[in-house]
Amino acid sequence: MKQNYLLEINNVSKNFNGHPALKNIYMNVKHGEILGLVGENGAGKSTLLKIIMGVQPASSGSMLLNGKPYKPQNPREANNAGVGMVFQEQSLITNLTVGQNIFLGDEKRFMKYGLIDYKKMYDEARIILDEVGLTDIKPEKYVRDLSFAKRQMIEIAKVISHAKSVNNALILLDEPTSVLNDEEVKQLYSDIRKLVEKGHSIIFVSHRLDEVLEITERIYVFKDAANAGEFITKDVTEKDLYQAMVGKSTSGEYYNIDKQITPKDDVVLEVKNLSAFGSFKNVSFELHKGEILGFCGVVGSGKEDLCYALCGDIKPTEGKIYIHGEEVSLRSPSDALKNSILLIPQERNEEGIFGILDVTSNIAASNLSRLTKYGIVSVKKLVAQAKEWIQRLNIRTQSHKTNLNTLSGGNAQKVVFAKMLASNCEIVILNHPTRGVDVGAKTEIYQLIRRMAEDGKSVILLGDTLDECIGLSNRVLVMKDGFITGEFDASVGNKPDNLDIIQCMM
Amino acid sequence: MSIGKLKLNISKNDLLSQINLITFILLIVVFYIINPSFLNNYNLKTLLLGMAPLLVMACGATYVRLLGSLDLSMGAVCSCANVLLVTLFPYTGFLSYIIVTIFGILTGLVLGFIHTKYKVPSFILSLGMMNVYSSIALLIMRAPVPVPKDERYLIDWGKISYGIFSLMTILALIIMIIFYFIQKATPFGRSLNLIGANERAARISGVSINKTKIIAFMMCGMTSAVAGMMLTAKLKSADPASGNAYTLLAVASVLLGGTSMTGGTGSILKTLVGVSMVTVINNGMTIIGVDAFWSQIVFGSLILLSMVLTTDKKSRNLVVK
Repeated sequence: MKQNYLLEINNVSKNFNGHPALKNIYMNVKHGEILGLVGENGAGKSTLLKIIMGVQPASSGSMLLNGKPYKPQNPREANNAGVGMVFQEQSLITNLTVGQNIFLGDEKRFMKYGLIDYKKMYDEARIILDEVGLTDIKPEKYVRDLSFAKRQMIEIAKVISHAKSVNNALILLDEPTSVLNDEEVKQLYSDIRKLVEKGHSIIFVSHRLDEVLEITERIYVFKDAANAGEFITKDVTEKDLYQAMVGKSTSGEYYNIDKQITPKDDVVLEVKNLSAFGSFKNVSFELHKGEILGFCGVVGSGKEDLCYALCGDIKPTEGKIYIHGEEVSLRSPSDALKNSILLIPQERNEEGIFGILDVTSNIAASNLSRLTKYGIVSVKKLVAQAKEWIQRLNIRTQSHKTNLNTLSGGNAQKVVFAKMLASNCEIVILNHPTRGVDVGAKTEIYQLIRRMAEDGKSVILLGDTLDECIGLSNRVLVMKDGFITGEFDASVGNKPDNLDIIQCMM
Repeated sequence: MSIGKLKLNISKNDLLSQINLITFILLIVVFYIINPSFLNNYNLKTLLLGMAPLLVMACGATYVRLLGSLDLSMGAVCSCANVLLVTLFPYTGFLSYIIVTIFGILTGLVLGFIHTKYKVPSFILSLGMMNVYSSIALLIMRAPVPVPKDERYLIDWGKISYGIFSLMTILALIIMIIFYFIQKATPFGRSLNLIGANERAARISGVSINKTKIIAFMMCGMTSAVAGMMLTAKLKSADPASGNAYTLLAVASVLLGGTSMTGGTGSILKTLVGVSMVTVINNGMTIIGVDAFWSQIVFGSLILLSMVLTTDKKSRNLVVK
């Protein structure tokens, strides 16, 4: 008898050091279905995918695959059970052929007298390629000569080759369209649909709600590590989905709204018609002293690149930046620092911290020229500064000599904040300042941002969630496809509604 | 009782971080036991004198290493400086020392500029430059030539000594102290560590990446030239291949001292330990009468062993930038 569901997930939870990453998740995948999975950053999508793939075990709960208990210990076991994942960053080896890629790690099957029987391998690859509808692709072809859309299908073929013993494969697609252009996206869609007709199932994870609405049949929404709704695609709109993702506003207390101040009239930073090819266009705004200016927009709306342009990391193609009314050209982040602009980057480990160096060096990284007198940095002052900030920001570290990579995410982020505060920059750009930070540290960071505004610093904020952005900001700008599509006042008692902002984002 | 306490206080990590120093002391003890003349005044003076050019060069190499880069042209620049200095003596006298120093700085400028502007890995780039400077040295002087009698007064400073310390050793130590100070207490020096530890984070934090890199290569070029000039005074001759062996010795010293393979951590003081080790190994094996060919095997194995003990095995990034 055929089971109703290919995969059933019952009550699965996952904890990391006591912090829940998934709370009592349920989900089921039918045979021959494209299932959508959406949620904000940190909502738990990736964690669930990792559990399904056997990368991490669940803390509790169970899964059934084809009605049988399913508990993969590693990705290999998952593959053999017919479950495979196509990663955002593709895992194909481009200087091997399609056939070699499909059977990568599985070559033993084609061994003959100690050599690989390529004819047999390519014959089998042919069958699998036909199965996924890639009838026009020769298995002898090099992967580097294929488009990204086709490569993604090859990855799928790879998954299916592992799932030979089972009839129907489950394929997890994580942001499959992020590297594709419109034409390729269409190609991928039609290929996926053909696959589903043959009885395979797909879980489709994407930030782009329009895509999820176009391709899927059912959609699960996750919020704050828990289920936040299950929808039949044809009955919902983008707005419904987004509302489910964002949910009710958290209370104002959380963001210290009582501490929100009215910014001064002085314009600190003015941006006129700033454009960067391919990421944002004609962006103009003013930033006042003591103001927290929030930027909202979906991933890919251009807000991230705008941050990099304002801190001198990427070069705008057009437009002008004025600081205190004077035009400046920011050719590098060190130029920006001289003009009192500093960025707190989104990817902390890659761009924010120096893991193998100690707290002292990290805090002083943006502050060296200010600590220098007659060309000499006072080591005493460096240490004193580190100790001061450890105390002021309540950074939990053994000492100022502790290496950064031994600190927890929240404490490492506080060190990044200390670096920024020590630099005494007037204009700070916070790109997802609470990403990967536990709740306790989050509250402390919110207080810190408020205090910075009180001290007359001007803040540009890209919130980790929409709530955060609205809750903390004095004013909110919304971006879509590289343009500013809306501006909302967010003074105390006059906070805009999530839905109005979402309207501009979509 | 006190030993028990000591055991409690010294963790495995502390031991590992000091392993170079411990090995160094062990080496001295072993050589001394085998041949007590290893530590007599005469040999100590030879040791310290032999160390001088290598120490200077290793200081520059440390800066480049801290960035996570590598300069393989150091030895060739050193040879160039050697022959250039002697060639210039008849024309410019003592001024030649300054001219050759400037030459060294320029070689670093060229290397640093191409490295930062065209993003060529320093390893490959300096390998190419090494050949260029080797040829230049040979073009200036085809065969080794002693410094002529008339110009000997220009290198007589090499003979001055105070007890077991020759002037050259003292100079090298002063240069080392200056380099130590620059690394610890100038924005440039601190930037070296930041860039080596995480170049992207350093850029976002507002560190001037290219400027720091170019200055580091310039200082490295300078130390190569200074080492070359020291060799002139030591050997009393100009030899177009005199510095070639020093490239690997300098790199080995820096690594043996414990400056990280990937950059970011390390210091000039560690390099001092490394230089001392290299010098002691080379000298000690001669003193105890190890065949010169065998000593290379021992030397190579010791470097490998020290690498195995000190490299960070967790690090995924072993690429030389």
